[in-house]
Amino acid sequence: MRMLATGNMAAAIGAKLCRPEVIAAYPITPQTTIIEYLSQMVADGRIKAEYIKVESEHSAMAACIGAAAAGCRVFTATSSQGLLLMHEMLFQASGLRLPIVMVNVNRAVGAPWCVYTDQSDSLAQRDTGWIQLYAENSQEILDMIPLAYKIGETVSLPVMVVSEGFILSHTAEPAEIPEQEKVDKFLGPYQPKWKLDPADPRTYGGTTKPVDYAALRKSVQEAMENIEVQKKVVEEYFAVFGRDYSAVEISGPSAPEILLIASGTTSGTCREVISEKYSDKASLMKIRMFRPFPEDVTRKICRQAGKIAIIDRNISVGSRGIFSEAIRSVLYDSPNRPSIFEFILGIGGLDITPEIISKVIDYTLEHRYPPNKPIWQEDLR
Amino acid sequence: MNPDKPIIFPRHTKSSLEIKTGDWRTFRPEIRPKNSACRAACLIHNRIRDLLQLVKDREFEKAWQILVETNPLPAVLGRVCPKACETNCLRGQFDQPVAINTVEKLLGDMALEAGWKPEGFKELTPRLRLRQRIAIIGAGPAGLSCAYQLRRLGYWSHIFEVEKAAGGMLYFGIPEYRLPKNLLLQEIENNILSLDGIKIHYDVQMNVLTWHHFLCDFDAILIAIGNQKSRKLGIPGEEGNPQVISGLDFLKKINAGKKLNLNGKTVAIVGGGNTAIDASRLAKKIGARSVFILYRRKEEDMPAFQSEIKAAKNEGIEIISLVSPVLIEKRCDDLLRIDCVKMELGEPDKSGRPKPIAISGPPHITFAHNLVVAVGEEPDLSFIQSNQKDLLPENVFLAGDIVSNKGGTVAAAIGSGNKAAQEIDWYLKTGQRKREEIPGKEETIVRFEDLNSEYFEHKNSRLRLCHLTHEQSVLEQLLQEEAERCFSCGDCNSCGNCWLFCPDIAVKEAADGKYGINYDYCKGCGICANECPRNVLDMEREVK
Repeated sequence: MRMLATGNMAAAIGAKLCRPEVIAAYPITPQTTIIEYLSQMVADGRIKAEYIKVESEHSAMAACIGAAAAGCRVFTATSSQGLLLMHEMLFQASGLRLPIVMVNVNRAVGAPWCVYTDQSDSLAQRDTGWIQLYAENSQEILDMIPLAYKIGETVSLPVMVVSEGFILSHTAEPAEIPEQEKVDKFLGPYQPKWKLDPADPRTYGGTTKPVDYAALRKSVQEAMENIEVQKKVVEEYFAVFGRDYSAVEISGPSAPEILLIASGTTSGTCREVISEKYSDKASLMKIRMFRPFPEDVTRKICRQAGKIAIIDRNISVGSRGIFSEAIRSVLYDSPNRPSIFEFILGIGGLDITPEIISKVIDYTLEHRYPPNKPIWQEDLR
Repeated sequence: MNPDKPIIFPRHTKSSLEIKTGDWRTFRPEIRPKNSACRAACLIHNRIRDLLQLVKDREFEKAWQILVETNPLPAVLGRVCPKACETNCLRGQFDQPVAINTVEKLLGDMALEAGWKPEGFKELTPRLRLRQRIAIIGAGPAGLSCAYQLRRLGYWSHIFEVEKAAGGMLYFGIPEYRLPKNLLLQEIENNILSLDGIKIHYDVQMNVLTWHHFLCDFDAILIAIGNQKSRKLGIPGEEGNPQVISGLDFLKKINAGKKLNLNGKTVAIVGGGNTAIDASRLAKKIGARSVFILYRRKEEDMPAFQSEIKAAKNEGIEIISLVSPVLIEKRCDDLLRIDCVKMELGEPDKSGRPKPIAISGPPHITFAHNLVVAVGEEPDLSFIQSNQKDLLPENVFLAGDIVSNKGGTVAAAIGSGNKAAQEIDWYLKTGQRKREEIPGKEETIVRFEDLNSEYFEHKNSRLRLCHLTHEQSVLEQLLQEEAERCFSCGDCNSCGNCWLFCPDIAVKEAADGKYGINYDYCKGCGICANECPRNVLDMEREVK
């Protein structure tokens, strides 16, 4: 069935299709409508779930952790400051190996207050042990939720599906709603790897000795490194639903003069601009999965390019754009290291228009060497 | 990574039960049931909360059995009780009090209809044991309830009544419209007089001779004769005037079925108690054209029930306050001229009400065909040749209006009858008159501030409208709904909040549905006590 869905509606429908047993969330702009839809569905009996009202995002994540530890499939959603408030609990969720799925709607972080989109909130959580998937449109958000459950439950790690405030969350576009039976068949009921048992009470996540702690952290890292699992799940999904959600998507020639790297909604604009004006010179690499970072495939693609232009809708203050950092470190092992142009665009929800993308490509074409610091949107005017 | 490598989880190797976290506790929750405000206020100490919990489950007969543990006349009290329970019901501070009195009335009526018999009696002592012969003088509510409670404890008793019917003031003092006679007699018969071990003797007028026989024949004697002697005004024109009648005599005459012709006449009543109001309403009901009450204080100082005063005024009875009769004169046209002196209110007297003081000035003059004097009653203890209650032999006990200082209500009489039964029991068992009070045994009473009213939903009482229907199924539904409104103050009704909220799974559900605390693991956080809606849990400092 095709329907016109905003990103938030798609997120709610995606969650519903996965039959969560517990939902605990706290409203925050621009995520609010996701949980409004969900609470309505729970109230109407369309989802047979326990909806836990909480007083903060910290409690929302704590409730999710508790419910997941009790053996339930759980869902939550948040944004910006709410995600930052959850920070402590995010480590708990991954350390306890609980496959919680959360939709984070990107929004800039205060101060000053700003409700428009950028990736600083989700990328600030890159080291928490959560798998991160970045969506470009409503369809991707919807499909990424069943995918996230399948991946998370296979490797026992929590998954964050990242949407974008207003550009995605509040903009409607057609999306294909998968049949419930197909999702049921693809995902199946949750079979927890561990759960709390009152008959045999045990402490989980209690104080450990350094040697045990190190072993447990290593085991989280090994689960992240097990990228083959993601590939397999994506292939499975493609086989059932016919939509491909590879960690990295490339459009255009494989050895282009310029490789434009983007994520989220920006990649859509880039694709348009390239196909209209630069189809012979540039290709687009869209990064869908940021954690675990798909190192091998990005290295393989990047080293064939003449120059690389990376668009970051975020800034690691004091360093550079976070996607740029990741690409740079990946290319260190490569014999061929193309020059990298870094652009910090769309901070605090600044519109990234086709003209700006054109300027990015033109700038990269015109300059032989990149400046030794990132180029900001205002520098391009 | 090897895909077959198992995932490691941060799971402790030993059971959590090995760590007795109860050691960390500095405060300790204690499950401590408390007295509810309704029961504390009830003069009979009815177990109101407990019976409402049974009504909630539609266990009407069991609820009635709890009621008759303390009160043998629920259908009667359901009609005439001043309902201190409802006034004190903590739900009154939330929305509306639980309609406890109506529940009592309906349970009493159900029992009479279904013929339930009170249960839970001790076996009667062998008849031939002479020690333990008990005489009860007066078959009013105090005497009857004392006989009933003694029977519950396994004693025989003989009741001696001066009139030809049991009930005392219930029969002769309370008008038919407030308490139907046949219902009263039926309930007395069903719940008290039909019990083996209770024998009633009618038409026994006490005098010095019989009193001395009693003293020889009985091991314990209860005097529960009530206040039968009407006080007089002591003013000129009162004595020997057939148009002046005492309030009690007036009520007795009508309640005994005698005809009094008041058609078209004007009746004046003196007094402000329930007798005065009952007499005024009754006079109006049997045909008096105009009825007015003369009272020496203000209307709000009247000791009569407020509801009755209101009803009287609605029926057109005038209350003239701050006047006191000083002279009665019979006129040739058969009217009485009643001269009253005007009063003003002074400092509060012993009863706590302002003392009326006569003021000079022209008298207030009224006219009436009849004057009913209802200025209070006192006991007639002439048969014991002494009016000093303190000088009685130690095996003589008192109950009812003679001892009551609680406004002479039926509830107070029954309460004092119950207490007398306990005193007699103690006396017969130990030979001692006074039972030593155990200090500190007094139960705490739950206050509204002690409740966690977050867990209660606002819901008004529908049972108060029950007089609109006689349909049994509807009444049962209404009773259940009303009982569900009870907060169950101070008593666990297994709501499970403590169990739900305990972060340490230290609250355990027992087999009987009640909850207990596992002190091995309770850290004393106090959440259970805080979330208990009905103040059953107390936190106190841990002593180690």
